[in-house]
Amino acid sequence: MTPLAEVQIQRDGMVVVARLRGEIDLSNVEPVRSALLDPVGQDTDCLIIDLGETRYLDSTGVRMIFDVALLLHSRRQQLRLVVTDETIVRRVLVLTKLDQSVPFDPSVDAALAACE
Amino acid sequence: VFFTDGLVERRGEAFDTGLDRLVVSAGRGSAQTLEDLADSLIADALGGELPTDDVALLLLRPGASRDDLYLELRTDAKELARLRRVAGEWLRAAGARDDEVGELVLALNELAANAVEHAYGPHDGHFTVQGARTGTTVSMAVTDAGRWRQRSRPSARGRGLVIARQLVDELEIDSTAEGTAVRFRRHLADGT
Repeated sequence: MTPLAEVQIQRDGMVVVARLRGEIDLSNVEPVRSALLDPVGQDTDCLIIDLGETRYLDSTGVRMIFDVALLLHSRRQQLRLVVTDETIVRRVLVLTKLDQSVPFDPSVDAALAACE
Repeated sequence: VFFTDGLVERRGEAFDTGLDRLVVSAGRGSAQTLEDLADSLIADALGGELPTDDVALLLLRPGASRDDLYLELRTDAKELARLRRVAGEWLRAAGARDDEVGELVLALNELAANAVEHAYGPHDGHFTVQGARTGTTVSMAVTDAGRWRQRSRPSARGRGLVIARQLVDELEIDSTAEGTAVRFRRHLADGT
């Protein structure tokens, strides 16, 4: 998708799991946003963004996830983030207080269970 | 600036005239990258004409020691990934722990993204990133040659700056008509 990042989509009923691998910054945040939102339809209940293999996320990436959260909220759809411990990605999400508006899960399985 | 006389000599003109012209155009280009400076020195000196003699030009810029970081980057978002890799390697070599490398690279990336997004108009420019280690303290700077419009889009710019401030010990912004330098310092936990 971009040289820095790729998005892999998996569907599980009304849940869309988007695995975001690589690095997200100012140079690729827009194509990543489209790749995350394109598979989310009217019938989607929950979008899980798996950041477990995201090596880097800058403030424009945080802003993009926040925008996605607002959009899904307005459509009564859920957003959950899979964030692993002790990573720079968790650090930036906590510094920007995104953890206060979007729920985090330690694994995709935990996020799927929470979407039920 | 080292050069052969072909750079300053023009037919039917005193040698000093060409020399003066070179001094003026070298003084004007102090904020340019060395590559751009070489191009403008040659363009100014030859005035669009073919040289009458061979031209050789060598530019040296003093400053950085071998252990310091000095990077010239285009104000293009695609440069950020390169900045993260090179700065990360430099910080590791300077003795920073993995968590410190991650945080300092994050701070640097945010400041550099500000320079890319806000410092320039439609034309492509350059910015520089410098780093030096003194004792157990790392000092870094992101300098651009454009005016930093502090009030433009406060949400976008502010967020990056808020992140950077939380990751370093001291941060100062020095904005003048010539450009903006953001300097920061951080003490490293392990002094090896």
